Amino acid sequence: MKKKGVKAVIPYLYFLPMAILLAIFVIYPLYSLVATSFTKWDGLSAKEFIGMKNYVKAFRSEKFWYSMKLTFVWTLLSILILQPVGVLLSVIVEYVVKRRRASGVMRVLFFLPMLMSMVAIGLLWQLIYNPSLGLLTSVLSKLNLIDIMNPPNLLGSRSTVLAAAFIPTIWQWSGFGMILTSAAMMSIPSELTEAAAIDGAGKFNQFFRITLPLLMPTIFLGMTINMIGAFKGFDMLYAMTAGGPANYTTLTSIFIYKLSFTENKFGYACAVSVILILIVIVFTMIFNAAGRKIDERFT
Amino acid sequence: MFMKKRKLLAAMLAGVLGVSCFTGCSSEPKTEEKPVITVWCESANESMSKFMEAFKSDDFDVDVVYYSSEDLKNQVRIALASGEAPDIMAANTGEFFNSIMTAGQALKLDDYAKKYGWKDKVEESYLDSMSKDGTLYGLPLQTQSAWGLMFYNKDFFDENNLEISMYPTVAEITELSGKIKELGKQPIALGNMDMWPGMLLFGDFLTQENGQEMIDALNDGSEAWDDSETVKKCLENIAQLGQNGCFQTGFEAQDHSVAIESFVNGTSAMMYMGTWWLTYVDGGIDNLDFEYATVASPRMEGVEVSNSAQIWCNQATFVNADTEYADFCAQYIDYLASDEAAQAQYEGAMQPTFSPDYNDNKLVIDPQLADSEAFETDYTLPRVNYMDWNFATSVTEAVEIEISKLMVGDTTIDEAVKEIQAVAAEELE
Repeated sequence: MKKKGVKAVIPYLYFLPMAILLAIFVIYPLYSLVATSFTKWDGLSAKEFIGMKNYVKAFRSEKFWYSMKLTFVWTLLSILILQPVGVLLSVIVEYVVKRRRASGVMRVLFFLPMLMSMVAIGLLWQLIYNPSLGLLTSVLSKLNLIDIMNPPNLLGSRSTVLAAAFIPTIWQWSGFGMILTSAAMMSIPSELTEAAAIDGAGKFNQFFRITLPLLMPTIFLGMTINMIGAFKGFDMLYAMTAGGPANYTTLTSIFIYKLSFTENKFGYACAVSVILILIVIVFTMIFNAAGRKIDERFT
Repeated sequence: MFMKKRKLLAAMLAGVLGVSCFTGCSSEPKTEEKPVITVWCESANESMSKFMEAFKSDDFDVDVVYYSSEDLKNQVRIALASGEAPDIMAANTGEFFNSIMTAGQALKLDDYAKKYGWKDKVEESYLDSMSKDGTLYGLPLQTQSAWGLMFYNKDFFDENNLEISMYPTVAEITELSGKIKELGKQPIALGNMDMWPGMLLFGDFLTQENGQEMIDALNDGSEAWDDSETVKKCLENIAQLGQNGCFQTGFEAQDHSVAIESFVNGTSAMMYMGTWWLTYVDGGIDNLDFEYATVASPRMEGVEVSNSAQIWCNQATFVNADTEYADFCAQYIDYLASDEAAQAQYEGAMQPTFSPDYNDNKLVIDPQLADSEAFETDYTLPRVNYMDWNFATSVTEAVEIEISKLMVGDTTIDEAVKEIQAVAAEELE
């Protein structure tokens, strides 16, 4: 009887280390975040419980809603652009480039930006875009495409800054989508396309009627990952624009950072973080539900 | 039998291993280890770093850790909140250091100040912001940086017969910027990505007609931002400079180091920057390809000499209230407040130091800077802290955002002051 009891406990012991790590690094910080969100705290003195005031303040704040608007635009761009570009790159690598070695080299080249530090990429592109000293101005003026005294001020203008700041994200993250899609492409049985070829389907039809539908679950997975990443987007954008000019690129993540480390309003920042987490959870659930439908439809 | 022997052997080996682990180096003669005090500070220039690390004492050692300005602020906050702060730290004055003093996390330094005579060794005018209720908590031990000046490429101006007065008005700067652009150069190098340069520009205008009194009035609410004609006038002048193309293209999205690079490499003909830019020139100021000269920052109509000047000697160097080694920390701070420390600072920065004695007795600035009447005048004016450290950080942030928008015409003066007042009122609650 005693032996049976010990045996029953053993599986839980295997689980214990991970449970402890999870408790220390996820559950406790999450609990602390939620608890702090109900307080007024400057990060140094004692916390003062203020109930729901931080949440009320957030929902009434124009700055918060503006940051949410920018976050949604950024997320939408990430969902709609990053994975499709990744698919395009994988098509180039797997189908267009015939030589095996060349496609290998291209795969590495497309994936290389993924290995770079986000902050380094932010600073690099900030310099590329700089109207007075940057590479872009230099190249465009050499090609006589711009007046050197009126160079494009992409990061300095409200109308262009978000799009300009998103281009490095495409450059960096499309490689991830490509690897994901390439791996999925390789797992598609060649018999399917061969059978279609025998039935007279051309390359175009083979891709759009067989390969692409089978890739849909993977493409959707990539989109979900990009969506979560976009909601958290911070490092590269902050390094490139610091949330500016004015607050035109202050996504919610940057808004939270500024509230905490510039304005010393940790309680308020925690409340905004909790709201952001809830939004990410809701969207992830919606995406997961949609993902299941796509799985059922295409596999 | 064999199993028993093996168990015995294993037990003996484990015993030997255990004993050897615990005894370790017991045969070595015991040496008393000196305590180490840890100092966190902003990255210093080479000569100052060498000086800080050269400290020798029979009683204790010092471990100096350097951080960039922004990192230091975050690390100090996190360390203080977690109770793991080092013995000595540096922090920006203003709201941040005020909250450290209020929370009782900085050691009271009055007794040490008397013992070592610190109030004579450092610039007295900065001590107020490092004190609370008459008690001293920190010392300003960096160089004094002046803001409120503009630098221009004298060679370029001379070659093209361009003239600029010592106290140029906004209108004069606007006209001059147009001429500079026609000659194929960018006008004033400015890097407002982090938005504090815009705030200091606001401070320059504010201190032309007013000083600390106005800042205090805005802080305590006796002067509302949206009612203040002075504030509106300052913002109008900033808007004029920004919207009339007086700053180089892209100033909104580049930081101050890129702005300095733009002036140093000749892309821009003028630069609006603190005097510390001299330390940014690769290989030292002697390596500058042209002669530079200094004038006052743009004046509002009718103002020549300002009411006061933004000159600051940051940061507050303070001792952790929980340190075990308060006396050693004071001893090390006294080392940092010595004339030798001032000498090391000057060698690295070519600017006036924290030490009034050293500044009075030695040549303490770059000769080209020293020649400027505007620079000399600034140093005689009543001093105010840099404007981004004078208000609550949320108010500063609001002012900075509105200035950024005004500079490119994305808002109006009335809308801007209304936004700022809303944040200031909330802060007063």
